[in-house]
Amino acid sequence: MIDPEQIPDVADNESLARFIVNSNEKRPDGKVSHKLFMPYKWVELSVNRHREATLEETWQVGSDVAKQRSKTLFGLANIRANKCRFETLNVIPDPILPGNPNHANITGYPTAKEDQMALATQLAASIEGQLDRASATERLMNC
Amino acid sequence: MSIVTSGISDAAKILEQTQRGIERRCDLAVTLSRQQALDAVWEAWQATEDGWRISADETAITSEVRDAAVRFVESLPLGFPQPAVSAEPDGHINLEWYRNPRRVISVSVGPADRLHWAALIGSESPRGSVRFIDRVPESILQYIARVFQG
Repeated sequence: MIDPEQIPDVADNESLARFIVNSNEKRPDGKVSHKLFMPYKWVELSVNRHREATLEETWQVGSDVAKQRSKTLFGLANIRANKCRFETLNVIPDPILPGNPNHANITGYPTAKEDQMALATQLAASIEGQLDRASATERLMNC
Repeated sequence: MSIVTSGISDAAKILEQTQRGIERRCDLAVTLSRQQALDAVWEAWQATEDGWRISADETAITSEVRDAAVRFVESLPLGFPQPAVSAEPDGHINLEWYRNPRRVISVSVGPADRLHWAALIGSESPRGSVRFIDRVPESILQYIARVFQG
């Protein structure tokens, strides 16, 4: 994980994970729905930086998040930071210490729902890959 | 769909019967498809009515929102593709027409008959908010059609 004493800015080429904790955020064709990137009551959205983190550490953070929210962790979707910087959106570090120095927020969501939907749809279309529970478990066992 | 006939010959009668048969089959097919969407609206509403199925930060769907979503689906033109239906954490019902990540439109039905919609057609990202008054707005119909064009 990132050194909590030296949290760097989020670089454009960093890969970020968004945890999938609702079944309707995944599509039957393996893509993700815009719902995965909807902030709903908020104007920012949590992601986790892969930088300096093992997949096991990232997966553990996702499991903890799901547990806190009484949800199931279905997987994670990866998106490049520069794909989260358009219109009003930006990505900034938001370490949750002591447990998760890799936490970051996609900030700058507008308050109008249709604008949030439009941005979330573009983010969902920019996903670079995703892992479900089975494939992540397999990869972790092979580490 | 209405059929206007003026012929009185046997051929005209056969044509009319054939047309009516096609119309019945067409209605049935659309009704089945539409019924699935309507069932999904009711299921989405019922799922959030059961309080234990939603978390503390989620809002239940009201009967008002459910009824607006039902009217929206029923107002879609005959033969139009039907949406995928899901509940949203803010108590809205989401209707979505999806072809691929860059050919998609979502309509969020909220309280007071308010529709929030956004589409992604290639690099084009139209969006809007409008009150639903018993007719699906023309702009939304056009974007649904564009999702499936080409």
